[in-house]
Amino acid sequence: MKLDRRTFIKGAGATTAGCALASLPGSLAAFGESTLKGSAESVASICEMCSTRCPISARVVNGKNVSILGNVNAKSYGGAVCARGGAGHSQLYDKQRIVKPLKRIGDRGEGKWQEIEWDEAYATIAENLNKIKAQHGAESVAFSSKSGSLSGHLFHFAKAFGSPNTFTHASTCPAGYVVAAKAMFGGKIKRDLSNSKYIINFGHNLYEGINMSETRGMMNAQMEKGAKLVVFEPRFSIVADKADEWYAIKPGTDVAVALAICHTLIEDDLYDKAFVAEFVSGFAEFAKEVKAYTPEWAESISDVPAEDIRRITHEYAAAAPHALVDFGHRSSFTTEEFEMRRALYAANVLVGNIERKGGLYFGKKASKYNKFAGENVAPTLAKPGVKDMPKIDAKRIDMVDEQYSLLWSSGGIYQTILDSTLDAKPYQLHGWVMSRTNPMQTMTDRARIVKTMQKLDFVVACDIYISESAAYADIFLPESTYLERDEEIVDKSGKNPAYYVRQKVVETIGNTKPSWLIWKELADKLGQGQFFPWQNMETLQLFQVDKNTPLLNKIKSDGWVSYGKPLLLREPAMVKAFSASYPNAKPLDEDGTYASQLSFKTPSGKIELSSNKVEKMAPGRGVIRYREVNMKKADELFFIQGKVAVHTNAATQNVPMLANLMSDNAVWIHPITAGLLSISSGDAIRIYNDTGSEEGHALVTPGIRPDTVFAYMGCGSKNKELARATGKGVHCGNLLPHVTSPVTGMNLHTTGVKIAKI
Amino acid sequence: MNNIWGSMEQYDPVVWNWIIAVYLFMAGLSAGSMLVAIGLKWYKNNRGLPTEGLPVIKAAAVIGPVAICLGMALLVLDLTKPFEFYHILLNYNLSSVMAWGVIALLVYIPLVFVFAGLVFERQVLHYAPWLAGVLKVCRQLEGSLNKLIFALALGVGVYTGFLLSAMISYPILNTAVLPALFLASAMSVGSAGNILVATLFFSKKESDCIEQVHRIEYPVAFNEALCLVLLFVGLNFSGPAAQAATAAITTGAWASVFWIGVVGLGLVVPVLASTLAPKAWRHTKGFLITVSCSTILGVLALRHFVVYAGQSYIS
Amino acid sequence: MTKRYVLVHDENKCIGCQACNVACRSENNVPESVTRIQVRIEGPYGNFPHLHFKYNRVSCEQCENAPCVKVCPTGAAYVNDDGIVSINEGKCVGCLYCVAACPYKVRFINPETRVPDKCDFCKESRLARGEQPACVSVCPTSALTFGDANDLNSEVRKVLDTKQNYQQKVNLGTEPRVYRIPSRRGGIKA
Repeated sequence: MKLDRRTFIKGAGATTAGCALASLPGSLAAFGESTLKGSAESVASICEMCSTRCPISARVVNGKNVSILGNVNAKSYGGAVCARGGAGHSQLYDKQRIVKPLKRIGDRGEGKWQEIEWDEAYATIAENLNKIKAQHGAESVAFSSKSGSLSGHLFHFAKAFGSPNTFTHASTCPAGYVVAAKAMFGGKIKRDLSNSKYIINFGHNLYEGINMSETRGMMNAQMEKGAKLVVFEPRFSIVADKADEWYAIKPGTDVAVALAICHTLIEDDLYDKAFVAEFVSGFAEFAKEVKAYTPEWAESISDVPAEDIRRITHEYAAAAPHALVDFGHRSSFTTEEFEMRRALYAANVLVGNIERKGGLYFGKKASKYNKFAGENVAPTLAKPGVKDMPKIDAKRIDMVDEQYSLLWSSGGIYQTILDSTLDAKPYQLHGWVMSRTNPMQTMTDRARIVKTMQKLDFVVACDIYISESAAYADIFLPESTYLERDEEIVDKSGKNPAYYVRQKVVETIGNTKPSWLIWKELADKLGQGQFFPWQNMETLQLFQVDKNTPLLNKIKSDGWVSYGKPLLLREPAMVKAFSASYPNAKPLDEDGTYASQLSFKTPSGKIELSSNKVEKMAPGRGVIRYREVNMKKADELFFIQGKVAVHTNAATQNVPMLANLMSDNAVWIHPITAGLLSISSGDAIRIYNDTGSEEGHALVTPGIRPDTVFAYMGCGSKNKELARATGKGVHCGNLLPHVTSPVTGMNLHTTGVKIAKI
Repeated sequence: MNNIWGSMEQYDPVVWNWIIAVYLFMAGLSAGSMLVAIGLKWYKNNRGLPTEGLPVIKAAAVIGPVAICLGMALLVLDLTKPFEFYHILLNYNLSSVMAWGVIALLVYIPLVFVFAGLVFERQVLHYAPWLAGVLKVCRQLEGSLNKLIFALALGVGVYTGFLLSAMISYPILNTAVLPALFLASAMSVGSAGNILVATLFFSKKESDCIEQVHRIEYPVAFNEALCLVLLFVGLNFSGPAAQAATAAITTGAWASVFWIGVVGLGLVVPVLASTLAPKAWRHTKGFLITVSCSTILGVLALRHFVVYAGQSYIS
Repeated sequence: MTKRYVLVHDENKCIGCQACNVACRSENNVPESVTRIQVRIEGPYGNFPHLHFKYNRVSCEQCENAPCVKVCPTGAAYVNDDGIVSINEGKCVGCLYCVAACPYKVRFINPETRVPDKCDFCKESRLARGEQPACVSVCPTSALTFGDANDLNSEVRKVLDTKQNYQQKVNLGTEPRVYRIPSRRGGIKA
């Protein structure tokens, strides 16, 4: 590559933040100049800058950069892409990205690395894993990964190796609503925000934690269709700003307001009795329990005026069934996460918005959709299984308490890796293989994670950067970014079946490899190659489509393929249009819907508003109930966190374009609180509690309750390899205590802190 | 809300810096010294007095060309593409004040050299006898040339003000008083510069017309003060944004520059010195040098104040 | 009829997510140290709990009566037939007069070309390919509408004719071609 003035300046700019890093082994800077080879024509693919995984369309421009836009074929995404998605190419050719395998040559976390070849990396890992397996059993190695294709391959490797201990980030992020949905509906449920006329939101930050189709849907409902949005959130977030009504609810009291809404729906006779009678089990017990949860009671707990709760509930019921209470996404606001999510679902169930426009609905995958249509409208995908996988007798390390059973197959309780390593509970862990996960930031009690990493015999990290967690690895494996990877076809069905696929846009830069190849090659090294019978990704894709090459090509060229008409089983107009399209469609019910076909994978086959199964798992929790929780000491302030639009939790802080937009997370403090502490905006502050202490800056703003402080999470990395992020801002994980919530297994994201000016 | 939109450094409203302030000062100095020298010449001629070899005129013949050349050099060096500055001589957008300035300067600069050549005819011919013919022609046209230089110097003095006042979003700059203020201060720095150079290099005895030059300082100072008063009083009545800009003389570092530099050194010190100083001091070299330096610093401060404070307040 | 490209920024739909900021940088190869567009989330203003943010798009306003064009001594800054305020790099000497004169402070010196740079509605990078400007294409909430306001059937014309809108600093007579739909809370801060 010719060093012209342009690239010279570009290089100069890119290294401003990392002069010291010019020599970081394995970095793209150390690897030397590499050209960008790839398609000048747009390639349809899938973003990976966050876990929403939006469909994108990307092309290489003049061999210099990559243009990343949304894929217009995916209608609900509208060709849009957020800041993080648009900046994906900045990560691709970031000089600080690691493109060669590394081995640790100093102490763990000391930051001394040596470049090695893949062969040596594999050999070292194989030797150590086999040693641990021989001495302590395969189960003493834990595997954790970002979910998706990545976790699919790593967890397959884990099973072949013989360990049941596989974890996603679930218990640090979405497990709450997933577990609650499993308990009540028997599986995950979706929200039809775009058609909703009335949306009640408990801090689901869709306008900052962007989930493209939902974000677009909600904005469209609000601005073009006149939907009303009510937001309960301690912080004046962007969602709160866009709301018609915002209530600065006291942190951790959402469950009280949700239960008061349920109370009002029942006591004021606003609920859908027919729906409840037909589809709900455990209503009587629930109704009895919520009798006490009056709006006045909720006001005393949450600071939300009772008359407003009552009015909002009436408005909500009037708009029903085209109305919903958003059950949220990441948190856990309190240890009572399970009750809170169930209470939110209950407020939906009571108005009978299930499988209605603007309410909640279940995904219609091809097999289900085809059954209704009476013909093969959409192709189904095959799942590759491998014969004669080793049988694993060992129990998972998080199988200590039956109450968490709903989580075991949904990512597990991630933080039990710490208990198992430090306290040998239920048995001692000796190794940890992690891929694209950064628990140092996203789990809680950072100090405890450091101890864990120090104690383990062997740690492997596979990532794009040396993340805060990867900094403690013995072997670092550089993964190709999503722009350099092919992956399996993904089912993205919503109201109708849809598929999309991640495809390589540029040739691999440096010496990186895609996840699926890394674990396959490592398995070969471990002598377990027979469990990875596929040659490459195309073999897997062809298996998925049952060798239907034209179908595979169509999915690849369009990037997003959807089939049929949207179908909600209880929405008469939709069902009518559906049955008119397919002559062999299932016969309609008397009321012109498919309501009778609605089934739930729960023990009763109904929506379990109260559940015997849960009662058995976790005695006392069969019925949704309010329990007082203590989140902080009396002289502390609530500390809450949230997501910002330009970063993905703990993953993007070092991406040049995004680091340039924001690299610090000034802490929101109300003017009254700040006044008492003599703090002004921009002042250096210490934020501390029993778990840890952090230094940062204050942002004095009326957009936060006086008893609460807030920070965007993901900042304040402590390892020197992330030159653009390290030492900038407050590290939230270092302030959050290690607590595991009942039933959901979630760690906790609300705590108490003290603030001092420094 | 946290800043999530990136650096705001490029949005700093202060675009033009001290180089431009010094350029504006140099252009004013050159124009002012020409105006004073030619004015003095006409004054003497009217009374039938000789003007040959007057130290003040000699001083102007040095300051006029040197100051404008230094100013132009600074201006060119401040361009982001200094080696392509010739484009500005080839392309003219006549709606631009700067284009008119270029035209005026293109005529003005050679003419001040002619002026200097005529003042130092003997020395010039000593080093460049081949210029004799040209100088002879110029000498014949001297009367008209002086009128032209005077007019162009007025133009240059006013131009430096219009250059800034054409920027519509800065309340302090976007006012008709600014050109008048710059012209008045050009006159005062011109006369002070002439006195300083004359006293240092050309004066044989202390009184040499310096007295007469000195005398115009009062009206000039009065005009300058009046312009400043009009400027800020005017701002006060020109809407909220302009009113907010009056903070320039009450708060911040530039308020100190204004009161100490512009008002103190530029106006109060010279006026008080001339009125209160004992007679015996008044025509000493030290006194003249001190007072003229004070005026020069005051005008330099004014240019900086106007450039920086002027750009700091945007409507 | 000549074109009159205009842009409408709906402050109700805008969530300040900076997708536009990043897309513009990527599509137009804007150097790291400078930017053609940012959306500042200002505030919150108002009194608790009735607060509101202002979503202030800061980019070239494409003035009909552009101060930058007026002051440019060489004519390097000019308004193109399509109404887009443009820069003839060859004529520019880099005097910064346009940068200083812009009331919106949206011109900057591109460190690579050494001449003023700013939003040009993606004239070269996207309009020429028949595509919408990058910011408009990627906007997650469809807060931006772009088009030829002289075309009475255009989406942008419809938006301007049917929704309350304002321009910034109209008192300066610059007649910006970037229009804003004000937030439903708080006043218009132009």
